[in-house]
Amino acid sequence: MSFVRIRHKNNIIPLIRSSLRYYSSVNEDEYSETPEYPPIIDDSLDARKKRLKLSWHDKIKSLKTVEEKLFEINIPKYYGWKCFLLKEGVIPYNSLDFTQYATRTYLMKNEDLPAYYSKEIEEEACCLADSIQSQVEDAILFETCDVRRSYDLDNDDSNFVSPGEKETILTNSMVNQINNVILANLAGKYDHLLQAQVDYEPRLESFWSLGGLAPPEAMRKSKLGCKWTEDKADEPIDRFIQYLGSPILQLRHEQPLPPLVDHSEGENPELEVPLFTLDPRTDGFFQEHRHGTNIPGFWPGDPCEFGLVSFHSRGHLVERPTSFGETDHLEALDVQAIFASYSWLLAQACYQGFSTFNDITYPLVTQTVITNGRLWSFYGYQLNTTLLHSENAKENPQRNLCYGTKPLPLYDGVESGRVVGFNPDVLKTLLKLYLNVPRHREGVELKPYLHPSMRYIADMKHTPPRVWWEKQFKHMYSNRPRHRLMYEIYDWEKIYKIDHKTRPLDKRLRPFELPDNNPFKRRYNDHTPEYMPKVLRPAGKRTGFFRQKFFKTYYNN
Amino acid sequence: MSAFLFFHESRLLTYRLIQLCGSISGSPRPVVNHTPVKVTLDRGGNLVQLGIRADQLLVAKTPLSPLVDQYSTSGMELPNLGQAHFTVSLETDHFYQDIDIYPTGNWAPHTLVLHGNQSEVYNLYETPVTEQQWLGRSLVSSFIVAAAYARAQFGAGVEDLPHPVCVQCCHTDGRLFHFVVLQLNTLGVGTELRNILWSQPRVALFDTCGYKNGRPELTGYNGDVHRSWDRQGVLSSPLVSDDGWGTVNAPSTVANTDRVVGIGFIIVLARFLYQPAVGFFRARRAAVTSARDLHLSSAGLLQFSSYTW
Repeated sequence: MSFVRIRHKNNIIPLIRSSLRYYSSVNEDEYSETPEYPPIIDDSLDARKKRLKLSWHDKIKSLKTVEEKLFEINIPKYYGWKCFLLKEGVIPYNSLDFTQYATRTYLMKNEDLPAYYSKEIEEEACCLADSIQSQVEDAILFETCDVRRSYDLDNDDSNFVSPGEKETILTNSMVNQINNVILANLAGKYDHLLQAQVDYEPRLESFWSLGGLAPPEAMRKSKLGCKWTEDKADEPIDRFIQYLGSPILQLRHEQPLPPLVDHSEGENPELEVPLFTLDPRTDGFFQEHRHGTNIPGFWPGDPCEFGLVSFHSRGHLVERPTSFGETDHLEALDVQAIFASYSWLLAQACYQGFSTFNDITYPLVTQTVITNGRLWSFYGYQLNTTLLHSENAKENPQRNLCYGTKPLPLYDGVESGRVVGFNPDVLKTLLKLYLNVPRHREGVELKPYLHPSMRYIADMKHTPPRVWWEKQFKHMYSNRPRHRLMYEIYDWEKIYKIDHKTRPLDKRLRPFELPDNNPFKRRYNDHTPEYMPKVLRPAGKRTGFFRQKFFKTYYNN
Repeated sequence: MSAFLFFHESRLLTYRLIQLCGSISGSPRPVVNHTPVKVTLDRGGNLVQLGIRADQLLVAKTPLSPLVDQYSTSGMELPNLGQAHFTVSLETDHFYQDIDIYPTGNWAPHTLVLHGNQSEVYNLYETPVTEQQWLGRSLVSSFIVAAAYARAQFGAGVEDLPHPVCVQCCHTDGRLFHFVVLQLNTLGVGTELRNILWSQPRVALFDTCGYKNGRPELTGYNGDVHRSWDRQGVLSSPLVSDDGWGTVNAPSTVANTDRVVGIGFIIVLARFLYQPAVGFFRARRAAVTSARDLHLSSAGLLQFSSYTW
């Protein structure tokens, strides 16, 4: 509505542009007994920032395809998120508390796995263990005695193989053989094993946001230096964690495993998760700038998207300093199992349309085995929640559950061509994992946040965005360094210009001295698009605004 | 042009195919992965050391029985190299160890699965690898495995073998498969006996298997390849006597197994599209020589005949 005042002698006639009429959305004839006030939105800085964050999470939820959701998590950072890089096998001293807090896991150690494996499975496992025992013993003998390995045969000193690597190589072979034996004997009777996909040394990566951590000193100081953030300097912060796994072997199937326990069991407050709110650097973890990747060993679109069993090597324990002690070595196995299981499940959940910001609506289960061929540790892990960012790290009512055994010997040793002290119980436990049949979840919507007809990039009908998205997604997930790296801050500049401002008269020309030039605020799509040479441009000369000088991009802005 | 650039891509394919065959047959063979096999031969004063990295070696307790009589091909004519000496394209090295390496002791070699990828198998002067060179590579590799086993069994100085050693080989680049069977009758020079190689022309498992226009695509799947695997006894074939890990569970019928394995192969290939690459790749040089250049154990005979089983 606008008024135009026309001075007509002594009259001021407001001229309303009657074509512009605004109608209220409230029906003014509606009446209710008690007044229904709209919610009062908290206008404080904290609340506004939180709403901004949640709106980004909602944006991720609303995206249609798996790849777009995974891509969107990395869009805010051109050079990648600053995250703690955890590698399988690199386990610092005393890191079990941090592990449990970082994955919100309640750990229970037992002699045997939980009694949720039904009696039928128990009996079947017993019979089968007897029938395949000889084949497994043959496999053990073959691997330990009959095969001469490349590190023994190759006399090239430049290819040094450490004791831990040797154990991993042996474990690799042994697990492959035993898996082949078990699948060969069971696949005929159990359809799910015939249909299962076997991955050899797959790429397992997982990325999640962990809240409730103490802010690092640099962040504290920068907050103290600003008037409206100084009282929030000591508030806990979120940090991303990137896990890079190296499993030996993984089995996957089209249907998920049945839950270990009911989903509501995870909310039992008696299942305590230790608190670890210190900076993880105090525990021995390192940070890196990296685009977060969530890969469960296969690209999106593979029909077998739920895990059954995962095998890992404990060769890293050989090289761990003995001064850490036996207890810490055993805890290191738990750390390895918890991170490996949580990561695989989180990556699987991401492929169902969930993410670290959008919680899963049903539990997912996996079974993990950590072994060196002789000693076998079995773990069952149930993922009840993926929400660990911000206050959820401490206040999320749900917990993830991990049931594990201590290392059990499959055999004591090999003497004069015979296996000594073979333990059939360990073989039975291993068979129970294989006999756990995955089942279709009745009445559960497995992919509630994905579009029903366009779940993956491959389902996109229009070719140019599909081709663009596939290429961009794979490029982001390759984590190749950027074509133009971050500019370097020289040591003398760090000392004399940044840490101690000793050069006030220098002209401010360097990028970090220019205002609003924080490279870490640059977004992934903040770049000039790819140039389109004239030969590739569409026919017909277009000028000015309409000329197509660059290739089209399809970012979800 | 090989289908896959890197060794670990075709490795993944063959690992899965072997596991699938083992699952369907009910008795898997022991497999040794990524192991060196070497044999050092003296050929008229020239010391020739042949070595390969056996990507996958399936072994068996009892060796494969010979396919034809050892003496049936005695005295047959060998290819003539003309003026060229058989070591003309081999590199000389002064630092070596005069040894034979056979990695699995008393276990006889059953099938060798060999990978040949673009980044590992190439000519010194960057000319494309020819079909002849490719076929020759299968022959050389099977020979190395058979010879190393023969030396391990019968002693280092053995010439005419007491009984022949048979080795099968599947040489692949991921897409094209070359199946051969070698019967090693002798390691001697100047004997009457001849070694025999049966070879099929290379068959393609598929035309394309990869992402095209943003979509994973598998076209031109060829069922004959899995039948050749079947025949080679990667499954426990009733045609070739051996035993895997103990008792053999006989497959129902060969026809049924065909169908199941065929479907399994297609599934393995289709799923293979969803496999991301892992880790870094370090190129390794393999000296590739053509079958004509390498005059194997002057008693070697190349018999390229298409066989039907």
